[in-house]
Amino acid sequence: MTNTEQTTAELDQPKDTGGQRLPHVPGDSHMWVMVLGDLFIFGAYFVIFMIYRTMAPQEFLADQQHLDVTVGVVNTIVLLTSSWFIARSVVAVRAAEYDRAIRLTYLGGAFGVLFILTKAYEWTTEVMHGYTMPSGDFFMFYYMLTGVHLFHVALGLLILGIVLRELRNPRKRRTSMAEAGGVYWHMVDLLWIVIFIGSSGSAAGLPRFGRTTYWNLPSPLRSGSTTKRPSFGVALPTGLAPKRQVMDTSTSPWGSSTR
Amino acid sequence: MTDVASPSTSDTESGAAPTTPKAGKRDVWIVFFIVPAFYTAFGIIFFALTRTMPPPRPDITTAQMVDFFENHSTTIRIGFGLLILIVGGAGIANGIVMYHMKRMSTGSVLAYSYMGGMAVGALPGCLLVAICFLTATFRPGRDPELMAFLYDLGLLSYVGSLGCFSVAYFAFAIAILYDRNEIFPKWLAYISVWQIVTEILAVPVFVSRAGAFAWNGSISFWMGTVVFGIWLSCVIMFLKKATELEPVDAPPLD
Repeated sequence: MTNTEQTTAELDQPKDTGGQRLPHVPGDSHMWVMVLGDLFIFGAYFVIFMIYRTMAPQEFLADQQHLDVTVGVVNTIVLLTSSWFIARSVVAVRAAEYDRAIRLTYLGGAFGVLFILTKAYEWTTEVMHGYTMPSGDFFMFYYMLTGVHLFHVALGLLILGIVLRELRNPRKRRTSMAEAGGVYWHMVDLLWIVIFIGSSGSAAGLPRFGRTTYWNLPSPLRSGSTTKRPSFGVALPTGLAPKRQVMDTSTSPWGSSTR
Repeated sequence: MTDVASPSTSDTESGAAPTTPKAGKRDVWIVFFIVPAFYTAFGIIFFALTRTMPPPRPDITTAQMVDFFENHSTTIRIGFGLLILIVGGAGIANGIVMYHMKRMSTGSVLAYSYMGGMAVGALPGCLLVAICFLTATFRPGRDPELMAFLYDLGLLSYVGSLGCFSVAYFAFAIAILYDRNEIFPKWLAYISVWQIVTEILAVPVFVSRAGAFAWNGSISFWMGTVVFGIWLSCVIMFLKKATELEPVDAPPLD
């Protein structure tokens, strides 16, 4: 490590004032303005989504059944893995292990690209099944919220690219920059988890696998062998409908499916 | 361009160490004050006079659209007539942003990208709704279907997403992040990203005729307007700061 690097690393360390160590806030304050503001804005979008869901719970639940939760779970694992690589990368930068940090950042970015590819596959599948934005309020929210999230992933890849550019230049390496990139990437991760739970989670908040589940469908849609949805006229496949009792969702944090 | 205002002498009078004069340039100050004045007039025109903000419903009948033009005919004529006269203020508002962007260490190219994006967007994003509504109110005897067409065209172009604005915001953000002269704070770049998000969320207004993503919806319109209001307030605040901090003896830009 050169003198320049040592100076930079020392400057990035938490300050020790009068024997009392000040708490270290990762990244820089500018990135935190972005992250906290973005979380607030997304929070408003989620509140609006929940209001619309409350106004038409049966329609939203019926439309949710057409999402492939398996792909959503894969996406979640991919993004969490990516975040883990980025977190390890920040730890490596703090330890001045820059080569390792660069490799880990590349891996984190590669998983981010994989997330985009998986999301593209998911969207393509939904569109091929005829579920597009005009298919109803739920799909409008689904495409727009996941679309805006995808924009954040793409922006995150750009930020990771900037972090990599700095890490590869011994004269520009800053721990705060790597931390800021990590903070942003974890926010993208957090937003995805909320979107995934909101758009794909069951009424009981439990994961479901496969294209269709049965037990949290509203009662008018549970009885027939093939039911036409009144609003969009899409037939619900019944081959995947398990013969089981309706799950009690009264204690769910998301509330009953028949609110 | 290089006319100077008298620098503040309070520091020297009080015996404090001399600092960089913060008076700014007089011509830049004049241009700066046009920005809040223009946007105040813009708000009055769009909110109070022409009833374009919040927008009227997209899911009404043709007869109701004709009624809208009839009921608000006078205020639309006054409001959008005034806008036609003062719309150059938009160019001045974008011009002073470009001026300060050109003072950044990132050079001119991103400033030109910002100006180009905003200039392209001004016609469909601001002026077209005025032309449509003025046509509808000054030619009231036309076919009601044509009136409905003007209603849809005006509001779709006004609220609908326009990629040229996204390009402008992106150029603005990149310029701030890479600037070493610290003309604007870095977090202004990040909140410019929110503006891109609101542009994305205005895409469905072309599809949705009711609900959160319609042109009067809680997400496509209200959230977008709130974020724009916050962003614009920050930009005006930091334009003022940048104008204050520009040395009066700074050479004119190329």
